[in-house]
Amino acid sequence: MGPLISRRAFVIGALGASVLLTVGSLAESPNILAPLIPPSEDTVAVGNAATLETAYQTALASKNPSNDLYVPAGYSDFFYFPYPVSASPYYKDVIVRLPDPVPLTSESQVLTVPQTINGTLYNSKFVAYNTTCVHLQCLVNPGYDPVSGEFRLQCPCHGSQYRLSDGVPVAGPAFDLGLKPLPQITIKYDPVSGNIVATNGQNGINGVPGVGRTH
Amino acid sequence: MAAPTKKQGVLDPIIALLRWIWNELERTIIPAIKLVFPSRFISPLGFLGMLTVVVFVILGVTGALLLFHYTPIFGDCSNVTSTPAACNQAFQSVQSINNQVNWGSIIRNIHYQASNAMVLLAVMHMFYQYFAGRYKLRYEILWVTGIILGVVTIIEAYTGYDLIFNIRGQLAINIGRTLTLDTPILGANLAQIIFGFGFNDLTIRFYAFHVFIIPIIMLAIMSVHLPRNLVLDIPVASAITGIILILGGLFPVEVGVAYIPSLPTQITFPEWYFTSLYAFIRVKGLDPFIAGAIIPTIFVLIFLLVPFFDRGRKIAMVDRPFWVALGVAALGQIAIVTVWGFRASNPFLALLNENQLVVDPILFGGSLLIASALAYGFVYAFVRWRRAKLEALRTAKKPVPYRRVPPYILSKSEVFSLLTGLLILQGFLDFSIFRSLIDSLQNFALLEIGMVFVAFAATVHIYRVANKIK
Repeated sequence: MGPLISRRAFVIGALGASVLLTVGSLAESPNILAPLIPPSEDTVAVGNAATLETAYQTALASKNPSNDLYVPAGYSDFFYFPYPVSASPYYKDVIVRLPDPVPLTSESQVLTVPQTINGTLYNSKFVAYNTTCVHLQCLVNPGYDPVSGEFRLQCPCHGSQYRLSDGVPVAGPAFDLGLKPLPQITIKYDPVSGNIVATNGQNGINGVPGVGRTH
Repeated sequence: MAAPTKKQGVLDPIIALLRWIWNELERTIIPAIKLVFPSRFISPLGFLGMLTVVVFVILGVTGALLLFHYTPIFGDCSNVTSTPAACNQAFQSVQSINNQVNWGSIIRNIHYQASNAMVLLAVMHMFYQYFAGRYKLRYEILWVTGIILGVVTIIEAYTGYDLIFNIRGQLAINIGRTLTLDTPILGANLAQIIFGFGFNDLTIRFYAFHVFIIPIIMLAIMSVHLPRNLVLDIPVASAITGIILILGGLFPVEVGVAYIPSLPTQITFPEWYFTSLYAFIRVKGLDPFIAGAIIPTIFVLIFLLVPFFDRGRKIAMVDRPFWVALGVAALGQIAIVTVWGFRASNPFLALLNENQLVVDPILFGGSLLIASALAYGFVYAFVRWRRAKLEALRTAKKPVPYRRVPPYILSKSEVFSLLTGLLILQGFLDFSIFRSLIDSLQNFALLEIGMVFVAFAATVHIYRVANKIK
């Protein structure tokens, strides 16, 4: 009587099993890589309410077209949240002092901060978005579109444009392809320090950078 | 009586040593390489591949020199309210190569123009071999490896211009990473392997890819791609080198705007060999993965598979109207799409703001279709007409008319005055290079070094032509 299983069959079986195991472990790889994702912080100061409001008032009063109301870069700040820039360049976010004439929509998530600067009371409105374009992950900038007369977040690569009031795509490939809005950052006002802070680690961003808003 | 002995020279032992080494090389692979240095002038179109290798060597040498001064570190940009000194060290090192390192701008300009020349020469080489029919009938391996080598060359160029870490490079990284992520099944893992976590990781990875991994892959493919008989004409190689240097002197490459995480990005164009993809991605309503990955893959695949569809035994252009017309149409498509990539949605306006980036699909597709259909139709009709004419001549037993351009014979005085003029020019250039290096006129020096190369090529060529005069 010969062996239970021939040598050739055994080798083939062993090879097949190892290939299956390799494929299986590759499929599981996101879990293997999970420990490499850096831990999140609890609270991050993303901008100073008074500084942004002052910059906005300066822009309002300015007669110079390179830093007036229609250049939102002047009264906005970039920050990284919930992970630092060393973890991923795609967690780049922007906080903007939302210009007052901008109409709000049902999607808008605006933080209003009543604050007194130099004896004047201002109702400052702030919005914060992740800047990674949902089309091909270039980094968008706050800007003004003179054709539509809207304040927008504009992508320099392929021309996607998002409304500044709610981050919904209104032009360019992100609009044409029906992609999701930019993720919003949940921001709060910290009256002690006067800073605007983003909290709660990963829950502070309602979406995935480069993919879009989830809820 | 002893024979009169030759007087011993100082160099004799050295010559003897060199001769000994040459004889002992018999056991190595070197005598088996059939590298021919033609004694007559032959068309450089026939050895464009060898010229690509020459440019590859130039890139290797200049790249090695750049290695000493490049810092593959993105650095610490965590403080986004101000721009820290340690942020984007990669860009800073490129900037210092351009402005501070001795000969830095010269080397960088050569490296940049040589990279453009390599892509251009590789594409020209491919199309020349395509029209010459040298892709089938036992040329299949050479053709397929050549196409793969071309794609790898473009990937190598991509990793190179991302390493500068200006805004253009950074945006190109984002696009490349997203397209990799969108790849079915393997996408997420591939993106992590290629692009890593964060920019510090990415910089060191792209550095490894650009200076070691991809060049090694290219050398490996090249070892299969080399045909058995190689031709290299030294004057033409010298002229190509000179032209690269002259272009480097005339059009010095910019460092661009640094990518700083706390600052806004801006509109930039990719390199000219990527503007075609850029144009496709910008077409309204076209899925980015289809535009940026599937369409170019199909385009490359068609070329890759040409030898397996063209089963004809004939290689003359008149006998392959379909394939010749297809090649011309492909050339036309590449040209149109490449130009589109540089233009706004209205191609006659300058591209100034984000509103103009989206390209109208009807205008884009229409121009593409009309151009390629016209190119295909005209070339196909012309080749068929030409073949019919040749057939008619053959049946009538008439000789095929062949227009021979009579070579222009230089007279002795012309040869002497040309050679003298070129030598004086070279002497003047040498002096002038010395002066411009003292005055640190780097671009001017580069231009003149290039002119020396071209003058050398012209001198050798005239000498070669003159030797034919009996």
